[in-house]
Amino acid sequence: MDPYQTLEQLRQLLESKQISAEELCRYFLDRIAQFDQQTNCFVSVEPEQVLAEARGADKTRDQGINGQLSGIPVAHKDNFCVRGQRTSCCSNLLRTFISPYDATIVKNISKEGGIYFGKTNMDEFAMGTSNQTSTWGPVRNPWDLSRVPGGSSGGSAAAVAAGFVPVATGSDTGGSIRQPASFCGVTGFKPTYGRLSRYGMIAFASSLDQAGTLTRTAQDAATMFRIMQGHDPRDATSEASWSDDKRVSVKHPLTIGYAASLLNDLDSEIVARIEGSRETLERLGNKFKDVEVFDQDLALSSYYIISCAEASSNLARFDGIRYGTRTKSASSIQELYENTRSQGFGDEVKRRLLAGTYFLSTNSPENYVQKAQKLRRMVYALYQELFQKVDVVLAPSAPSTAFRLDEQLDSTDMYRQDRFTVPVNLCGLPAVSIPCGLVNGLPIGVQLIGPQYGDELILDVAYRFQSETSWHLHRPKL
Amino acid sequence: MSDAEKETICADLELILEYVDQIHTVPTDGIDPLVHPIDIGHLRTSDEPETSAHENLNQTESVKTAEGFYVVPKVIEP
Repeated sequence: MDPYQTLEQLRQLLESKQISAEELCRYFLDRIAQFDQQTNCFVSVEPEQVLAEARGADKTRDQGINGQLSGIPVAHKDNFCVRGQRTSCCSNLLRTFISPYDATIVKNISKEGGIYFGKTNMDEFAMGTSNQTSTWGPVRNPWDLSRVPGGSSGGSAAAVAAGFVPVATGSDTGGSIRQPASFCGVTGFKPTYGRLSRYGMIAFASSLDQAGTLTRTAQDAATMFRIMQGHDPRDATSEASWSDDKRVSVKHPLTIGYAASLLNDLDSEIVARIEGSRETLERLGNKFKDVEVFDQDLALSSYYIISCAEASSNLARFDGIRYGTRTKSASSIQELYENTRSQGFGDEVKRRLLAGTYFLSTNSPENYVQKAQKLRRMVYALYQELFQKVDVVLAPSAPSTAFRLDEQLDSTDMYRQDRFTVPVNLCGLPAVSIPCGLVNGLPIGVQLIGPQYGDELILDVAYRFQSETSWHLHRPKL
Repeated sequence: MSDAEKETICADLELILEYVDQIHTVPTDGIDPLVHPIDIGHLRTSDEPETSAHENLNQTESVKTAEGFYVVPKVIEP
């Protein structure tokens, strides 16, 4: 049994009855039991429940009822609510929280027969780029256990890279799917804002958060996207007026935008891999056009102000009263709030909440948040103009390969990891990170960014790229 | 937070503020703030009462409840 098979390959194995869902799930459970002590990708797995679900899938298959994911394991990032399961967001504050309901995405996957395989590790409340802020301990990159997997969807990316599951969900507020996909050598897809429901995905920054997937291939990402998408009346920002007319048509060849200025301060080996991707796409018949992008540090500053401000509002719900852990030492309601949060939140979350509260409270004529939102408009306008000239944009996914766990980065250095990914979230665009090479034995990815509703378009380009290259087929040695 | 913790966080916040303060160098007069990336218009939902889902189940997640209420330290002093 090869643990690195695609969804289509697994589906064929199951349909032809070469393997049962129970055998398939048992195989992946054994693999997790054997190797996950090294990587710490999963924060919860319930083998008995998995096997019971798998037996149910085998039974319905025998009755001729088949979903698109029938019998196939799917892991969920620990910020997606799964009914009856601990959903901790990898925070001490929610370490005992059992969700009373399913996120819409979890439900959509389950409806198609996907087997809920467990929760993956992440940065606490999705705030981080290294998966080191989890209350359950850091994830280690399967390519090199002394290195981080990226974050915040580090557990999902590493689990797919390690061959523990063929697909895992993730969330991307500023690059949290694409950066770990780059570090772990997998395909990370962040759809257009509003195409996937956020109901049941614990909020970080509501105008930026978007669910997505970590998979082996762009084709698998497209399959998952079809299953997960759709309007959800429970999510006010879910695209209610969606119709096929809005979709940007898939076509080939394309004009691809390329901002050479983005490569200025990158390692020459990484530049070579991105240049190599450009050559591959040219060989496929696409044309390239030089474009200018918004100043990265300004876009990043705008992103951090907005995301911290939204987080400080969203996370105010965690007061220890209705759910989550509550301090044992409080003689007044004020002390209860203060002590619960001081003891429940980790350092990075506290840092961002304090910064966000400050940004929201400053009373200068033009405060931080409004100024940041004006910059957001400028980034948005630039991309709108850019997509009048080109069909998609090619850009780096991350400024480096996976860094070491013991590497000391200060807050702003860590935040700058996201400088290639945040403009996509500011503008609600779709983007996919695909593996484009190895540098000193570590994977690196490249991003394809599309206009709003160009999800299928960028996945098609990624599919064509992966049909021409084999970088997505490389595997770590565990 | 302990004093040591406050000191570290203050130093980190200063670094963050120093970094993001660069936004104030950009002229933005006449530009409308962008609050949301997609135009979702004014959302309206029908004004129909619905049963709140899983009230009892939700309360099982609270550390302390009594008779359907959440129990907290005294809020109003006599």
